[in-house]
Amino acid sequence: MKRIFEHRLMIFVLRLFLGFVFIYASWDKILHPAQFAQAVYNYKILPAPVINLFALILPWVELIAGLFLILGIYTRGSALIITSLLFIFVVVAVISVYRNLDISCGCFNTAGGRKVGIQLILEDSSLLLLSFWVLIKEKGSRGNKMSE
Amino acid sequence: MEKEKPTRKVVLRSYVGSRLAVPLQALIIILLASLLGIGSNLIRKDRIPFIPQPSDVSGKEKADNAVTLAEAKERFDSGMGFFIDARSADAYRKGHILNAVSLPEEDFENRIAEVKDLIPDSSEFIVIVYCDGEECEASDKLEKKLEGYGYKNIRVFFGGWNEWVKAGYPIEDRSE
Repeated sequence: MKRIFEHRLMIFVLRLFLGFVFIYASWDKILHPAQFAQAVYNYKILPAPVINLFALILPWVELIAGLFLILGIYTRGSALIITSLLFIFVVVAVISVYRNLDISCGCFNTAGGRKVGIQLILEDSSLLLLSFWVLIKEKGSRGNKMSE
Repeated sequence: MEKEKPTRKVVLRSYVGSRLAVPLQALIIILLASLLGIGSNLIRKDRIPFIPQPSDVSGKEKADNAVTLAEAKERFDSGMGFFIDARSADAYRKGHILNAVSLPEEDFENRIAEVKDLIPDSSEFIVIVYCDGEECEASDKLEKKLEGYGYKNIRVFFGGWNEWVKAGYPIEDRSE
């Protein structure tokens, strides 16, 4: 019983943590779409015509998924989105490092700063593991007592 | 998928939508985000175009800080352009745009000290960085590094060395 309790608590804490990370990450991008579009452009992966739409929508996906993950609305759907996004971020970061791109990641701050590199890959990978854990362990209706 | 132990009411209160299939939940979130993302861009003042013109985002850097071959040559002729070769020291030694200064991008930190006094920092001058051509990234990177260093009038000549040579413009060639 105690184990389950701790288990649920852990999942809940992870949800809070991931949720806040994603909400925080979305904010600056929502405020500065043009700068974020530029950051996306610098990765030289997406074709130019879709970059702006992507840059407009992605931050809102991050915000809503993060918010929902915390609030327990569409919890597993949010976890699926966050896990998928992190997976994509890791792949893109690996490609960028492999291609030797010297670019800002545009992760938390569109004004630059963080560079795409090994450290970013490790961080995103850790987050990916955590969110994958939430995705497979979160049982939807069962954890409701802990989440309130 | 779900256990039915908690009453339906509790389930609904604390896990809204948990009965929907997970991919469907995800899809709803993405649709909601699309609405908000597109909607907010429609009403905000600093909106960006949904589909950028070729000269917008894809060419954003180019539009802002690029010089064409013709512009580069004009600056070269008038003496109002300062050319910096972003390629390796080796490539520079083999041949470069006449009077260009070597500042290999990958060795920026070590070399900037000897070059910085040469770089004009006045609005009448522009500093033109170049590397081999369109596909190389050294000029782009060097431009950012120089800007990070405080220089303002940096332009990238994307055509680079290849275009310059092809046009038959003045070079300094020591390979022969």
